[in-house]
Amino acid sequence: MRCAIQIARAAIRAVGVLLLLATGAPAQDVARTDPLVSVEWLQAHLRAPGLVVLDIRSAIDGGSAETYAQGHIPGAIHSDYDKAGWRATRNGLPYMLPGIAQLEKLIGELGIDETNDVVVVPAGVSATDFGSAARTYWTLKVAGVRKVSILDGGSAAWTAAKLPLESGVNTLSPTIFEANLDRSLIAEAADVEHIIATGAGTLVDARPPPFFQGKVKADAAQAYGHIPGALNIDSTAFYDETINRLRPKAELAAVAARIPPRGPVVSYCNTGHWSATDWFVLAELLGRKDVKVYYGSMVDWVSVPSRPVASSRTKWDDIKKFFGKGS
Amino acid sequence: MRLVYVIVFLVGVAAILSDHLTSPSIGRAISPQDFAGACAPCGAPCPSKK
Amino acid sequence: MTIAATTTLAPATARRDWLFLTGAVLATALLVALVLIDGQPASAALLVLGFGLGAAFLKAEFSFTASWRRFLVHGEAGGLLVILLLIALTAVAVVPVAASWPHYGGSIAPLGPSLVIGAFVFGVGMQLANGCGSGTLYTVGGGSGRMLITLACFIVGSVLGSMSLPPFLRMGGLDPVLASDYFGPWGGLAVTLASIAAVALVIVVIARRRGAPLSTRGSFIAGALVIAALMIGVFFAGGHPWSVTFGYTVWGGKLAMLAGADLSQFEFWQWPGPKHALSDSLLGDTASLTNLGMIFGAMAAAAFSAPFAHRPWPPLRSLAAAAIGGMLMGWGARLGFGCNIGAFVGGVASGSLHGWIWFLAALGGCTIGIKCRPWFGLSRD
Repeated sequence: MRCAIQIARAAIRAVGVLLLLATGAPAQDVARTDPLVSVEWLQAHLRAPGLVVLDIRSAIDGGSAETYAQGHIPGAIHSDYDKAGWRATRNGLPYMLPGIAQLEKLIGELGIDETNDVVVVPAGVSATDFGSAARTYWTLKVAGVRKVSILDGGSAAWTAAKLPLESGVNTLSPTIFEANLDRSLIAEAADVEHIIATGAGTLVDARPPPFFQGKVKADAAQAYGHIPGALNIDSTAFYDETINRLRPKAELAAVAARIPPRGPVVSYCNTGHWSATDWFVLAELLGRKDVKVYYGSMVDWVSVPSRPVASSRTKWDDIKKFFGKGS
Repeated sequence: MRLVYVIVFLVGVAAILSDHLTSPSIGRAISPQDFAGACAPCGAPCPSKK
Repeated sequence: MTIAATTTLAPATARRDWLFLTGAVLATALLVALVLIDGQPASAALLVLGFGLGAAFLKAEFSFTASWRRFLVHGEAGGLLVILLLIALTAVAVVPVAASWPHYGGSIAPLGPSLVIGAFVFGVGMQLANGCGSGTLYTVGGGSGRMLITLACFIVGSVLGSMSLPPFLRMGGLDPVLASDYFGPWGGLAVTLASIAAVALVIVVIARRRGAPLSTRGSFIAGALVIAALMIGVFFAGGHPWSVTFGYTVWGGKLAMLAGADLSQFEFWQWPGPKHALSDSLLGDTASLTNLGMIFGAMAAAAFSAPFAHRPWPPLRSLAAAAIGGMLMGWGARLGFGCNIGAFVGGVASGSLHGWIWFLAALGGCTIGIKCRPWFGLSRD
């Protein structure tokens, strides 16, 4: 039965492509989506077969399933990035990559399988919100969904372009999704230890400088600072908050220029949210090979006391925090 | 002599404080295990005990 | 003139020196607060125990240096025997616990030229300076300007010693010999106590042969008992026996860095213990904590009963001895793995053979140091 559906989909897609070619429309093959798509592109391809528009608004961007229901891109389905299970607590550490079974359930219940084209739609209100999309994108790719994109500018851009919105809730019928884990995108603590020991690779810390310096830390992390040898490439530097889009490719490359041109890169932050943006820019937009996300990030790294941590924090900072004048 | 001691005392306490307050912190207690391999009390590694 | 004598003022009513008394107490309280804010109650305990040790050493005038000198020159063994009692009492806690409990260790060191030469040189310096590692601390705390010079030179000598130690270790030697390795925790204790008894017997025989009295002051014995209790406390709080001279080495290292020296090129400062001690707060170093506590405790005890630091400066020759003695002790302690407290008391109380070798070599150095004392206007006894 499923096989028949897949054959039907492929046939419809083929007809669709022929029609597009026949009408002289721009040859944007749905089978080869760019990682970052524009509002115009999405408008044109909204009814393309196999395309799933995934609205991920959550408390992180001030949204929720309700804001989705009030107005969303026509045909979009919703999954709450924060609550639906895109990140899970494992070994007492929050916001980790969920296990395979949980991923299969999450993605399958949305009605997504590995043949779909998924367009992840953030709210489009901040760099951190873009990170939600990047992390969702990364998670889908890790799970084996091959064709994923992010809508540059998110729902906000769609609304700003005065394009029609739909209200209500859309769902797809759940499907059985078999994950095909792509380990080439995942880094664990052992990979980081290898880089520290051999210098064969670059660690990229995607957090804002105060985290890197050790002035502030994530609540779930037990220590302040960064992984020794890491470069601080703040994920927000890739994002233009005045227009809520990623910066042009040339500027992205300039921000990333500090990273040695060759060699493996492991991107991390506190729990793999901001670092997904750095990964997305480096691997998907700038085409860099061998970039991984250490999703455990600092929260995982400092959970083992013997692992080294570098920081410019001093005991004076501790005293200030003790008396409520610092963090 | 007394004056010497007052000065030494104040300089000493100031030095201890400044050393402590400028010393690095990662915000968690450092355990003796962090110095594994040290042979107390001088810190020299023992020839056969590691 | 020796500084073993207490103040000659000795009035019936105590003349408290409030400035230094409150200063010492406040300084200690401040350091205790800092380490508690840092979440380190053991460090706070070390400061307080050090404070107690300073007061005890000062009130009891617990001088290793004078005790050894009296034995070597006159055969008077009372002080030395009490010191052996102190070691025996401490051993009862240290040997079995260090051998059985994780996170606890004894003072252990290899047996070779570094140990022997270091201890010998230390012995020479100790008699010129009129004090050893702990002696320097409690006399500085007690207000002796002369010992301030010794302390300063001790610190300098320690840094020089840190540079010499790795090459001296490369001269070779035997691995450490620890009683509990061969005889287990309790067998090791028995062997340790037996060795102390044997040495005590030899000392008594020597004393008898020289016709010298065995007795000593009651305050010295009382001091030993209090000090033993505090030393055991230090062992439990710090995880290893009380150590003094590593603290001086760290202070010297930090001062050298402040002056712009790059210590990373010296092997000693690449070892994990010294490397961390250099970059971390000195309130993270157990020896520094007890050292500071001891200085403030002695200061408080001294200021409690008499005007503080009222003695005049001794003659220049005496100060020269203080300086030279301090340097020799600093250098010798690093090579010899400690001073009377760290190497002798700590080593023997841990059941490590190096403690006895240190003792013999240091005694040898003392005989030379004693001979040199008159050159600096110091008495031979």
